[in-house]
Amino acid sequence: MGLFKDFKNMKATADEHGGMPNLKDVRRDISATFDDRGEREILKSGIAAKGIVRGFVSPVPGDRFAMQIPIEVHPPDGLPYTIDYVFPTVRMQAAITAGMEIPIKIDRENGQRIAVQWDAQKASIAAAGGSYAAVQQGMAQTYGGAANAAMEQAMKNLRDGTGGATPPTTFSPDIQSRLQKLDQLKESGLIDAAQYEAKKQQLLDEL
Amino acid sequence: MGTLSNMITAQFSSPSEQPAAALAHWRATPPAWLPGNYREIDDSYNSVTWEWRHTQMIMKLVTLNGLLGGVTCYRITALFESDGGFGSRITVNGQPDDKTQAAIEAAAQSFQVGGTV
Repeated sequence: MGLFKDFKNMKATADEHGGMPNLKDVRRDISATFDDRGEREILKSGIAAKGIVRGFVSPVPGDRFAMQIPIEVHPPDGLPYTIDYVFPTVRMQAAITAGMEIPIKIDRENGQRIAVQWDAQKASIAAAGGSYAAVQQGMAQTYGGAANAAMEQAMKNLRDGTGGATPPTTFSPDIQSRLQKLDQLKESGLIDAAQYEAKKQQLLDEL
Repeated sequence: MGTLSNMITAQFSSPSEQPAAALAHWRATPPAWLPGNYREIDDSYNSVTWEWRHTQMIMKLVTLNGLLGGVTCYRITALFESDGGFGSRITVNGQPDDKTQAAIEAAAQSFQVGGTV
């Protein structure tokens, strides 16, 4: 009886997700799950570099087996550039989130293609004191103290059994982080000196 | 130092070498606690990873010498960061075999700087 119940539950759950796949679709899904998308080759022969995560992992529309995240690529010889890194979900072995420095390899033929070195990333997270600490460090790099304070409060609320509800908190980056970001924009030539000075003054006026 | 299953994280230091130099040193001369059957499989701007793919004798017989699986993959990564001064802080992390794990723990506990340095 248990087996029939399991099948019934499985069918009910599957119906909510578009129905039970037929054998052909199952084979296609297994194949897609383990499709490496060329990452093994990039890891083998690519150029070791540093990446800085500039956003958060999100699903790829229309692709159930991949995730995407913006990465600022820092090639050993050349200017940094940002790509939208699409990777097979099954490869993700450690946390990557905004602000983290991550080890990557760049395809020698196509600089838009990279692969994250997950073993090195796991070591990096261990060195930071674990996933939570590493995420916090990354968030602090990007958003300054405000995001960390909100995250700490949310974790405290969860521990206290208040359902994780956070008190009203501003999520806007603090002035220091915004000034640092402004410096980066100027250094990378994305804004000119006049724009830099005007925005800097505007930020300082907020103090 | 902490362990979860056979996952290990251990800290070493190399006070006289910058991270890049310490990384080059460890790649050229792996630490004494790393058995010879581990091979370097990857390196990044601040790390090196070694791996040992091992098939137990019984599994070799059952799986036609590993043809049908049964291979255990042990991996260790050493990450090199600045210690804030002139030296390096080295974090060793991964899932080694039991013997190597014990050797890493012993080396880290005796504060063997850089493992072999």
